[in-house]
Amino acid sequence: MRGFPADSAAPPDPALTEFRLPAGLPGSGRRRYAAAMSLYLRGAISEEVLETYRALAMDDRADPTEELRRISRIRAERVPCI
Amino acid sequence: MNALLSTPLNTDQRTGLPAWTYHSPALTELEKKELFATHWQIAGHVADIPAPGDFIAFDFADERALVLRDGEGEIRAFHNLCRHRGARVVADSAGKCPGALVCPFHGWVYNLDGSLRGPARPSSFGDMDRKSFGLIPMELEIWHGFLFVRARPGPQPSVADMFALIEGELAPFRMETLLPAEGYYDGTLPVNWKSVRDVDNEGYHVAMAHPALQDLYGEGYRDEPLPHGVSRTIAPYNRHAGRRWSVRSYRALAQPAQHLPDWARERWAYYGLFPNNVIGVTPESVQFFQEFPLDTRNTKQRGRVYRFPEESRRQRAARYLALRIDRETYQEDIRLSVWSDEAMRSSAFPGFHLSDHEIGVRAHHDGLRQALPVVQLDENPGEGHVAEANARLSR
Repeated sequence: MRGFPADSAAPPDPALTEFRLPAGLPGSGRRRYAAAMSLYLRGAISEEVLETYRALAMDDRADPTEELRRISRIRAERVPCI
Repeated sequence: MNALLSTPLNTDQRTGLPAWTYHSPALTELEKKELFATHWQIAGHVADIPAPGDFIAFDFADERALVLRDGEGEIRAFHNLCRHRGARVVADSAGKCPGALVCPFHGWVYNLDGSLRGPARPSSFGDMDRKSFGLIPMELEIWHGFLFVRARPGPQPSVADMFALIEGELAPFRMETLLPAEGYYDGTLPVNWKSVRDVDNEGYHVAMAHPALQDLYGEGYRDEPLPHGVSRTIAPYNRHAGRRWSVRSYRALAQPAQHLPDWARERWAYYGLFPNNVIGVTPESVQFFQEFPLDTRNTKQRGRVYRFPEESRRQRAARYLALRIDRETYQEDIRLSVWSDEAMRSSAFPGFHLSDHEIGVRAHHDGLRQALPVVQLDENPGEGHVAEANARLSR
């Protein structure tokens, strides 16, 4: 995932606010995914990250950042020792 | 505009539509395409979708309507069809989509103004012009707060033009300020849609079939067909209403509605819009109801009751009692619709012979003869030839 600009006094970015909705809110999975689509179009996230948000769109309780960390861990474990 | 629809219909004819028109699947398909899709339908009221992202969705004939309030507060109507594979972009009949609509099939994302935000797995579509894949708009007109949609252009003028003649008598109700009083009601009846409308379109049966309505307003009830397929039924209260508990209690509780002129304070009225919409008005509430063919033998009914914004406890109780009378009437009408529909399948029934008191039915049937000339034929031209015969007779 690419980085986001640091929070500042600027008005909150609605897409970022939606993207960061906490897990558990009813309907939040779709809202996070819809916001991820906006961020993808801006070039702020990759299609792979967008796809992770789509895969969790119907599971409001799932935290996509946790899922992305889990995927990263699995990938790291698969890197062959040199 | 169809010139004939601009003048009151000729209701000299006492015979109703021929029986075959009530059980022909080919005619039902024609009605869906050439009647329901091309005539204005009430979707609901602006108060049903007060905040951005609020939506209502409903099916009529083979069409799916989605009406929503966008991020700027503007109300928009679309066909409830994802541009990818045609899935419903909203699956429920009402709800809220904060910020965006996400198709539950593959995950295409639409902005609330209907434009496509992006398809799922965007790179799999190559150089896609997203602007060409927004939701398909549906024609929308807002009249005194009620939302009307039309799937395809048709013979009717604007809703405001059609209702212009009764504009003055409905204005005091300030219908644009109404608030929902009940949820949507939604049911299915095992009859042809015309059998429902035939019963609802006349008050000749009230004295026999609806004891409560007869007690409330049976003496002065009158139906009146107006131009453009609009109809008006005025039902002033009987001077001695109150034989029955529900009517007596309603009349005792109901207070003079200060927001209404004197002539509107003691009557119920119904305003119909061809072919299937009704707005019912009482001193305590306004409701709409309508019916759509699901198939030849099954009809979907849909509607909602609204209240006025300032409502005292007494008025609320009176509204409850009025609704109770209305529900009782609805149950009584179901039986009549079923009997009427059964008769159309009987080998012995020669068809309706209609009274002057059934002018609403006669006007409705005349409207159908005009809109779909094939129903003028005494016999079914053959299930495979209904559309063709209609096209020939329309020329």
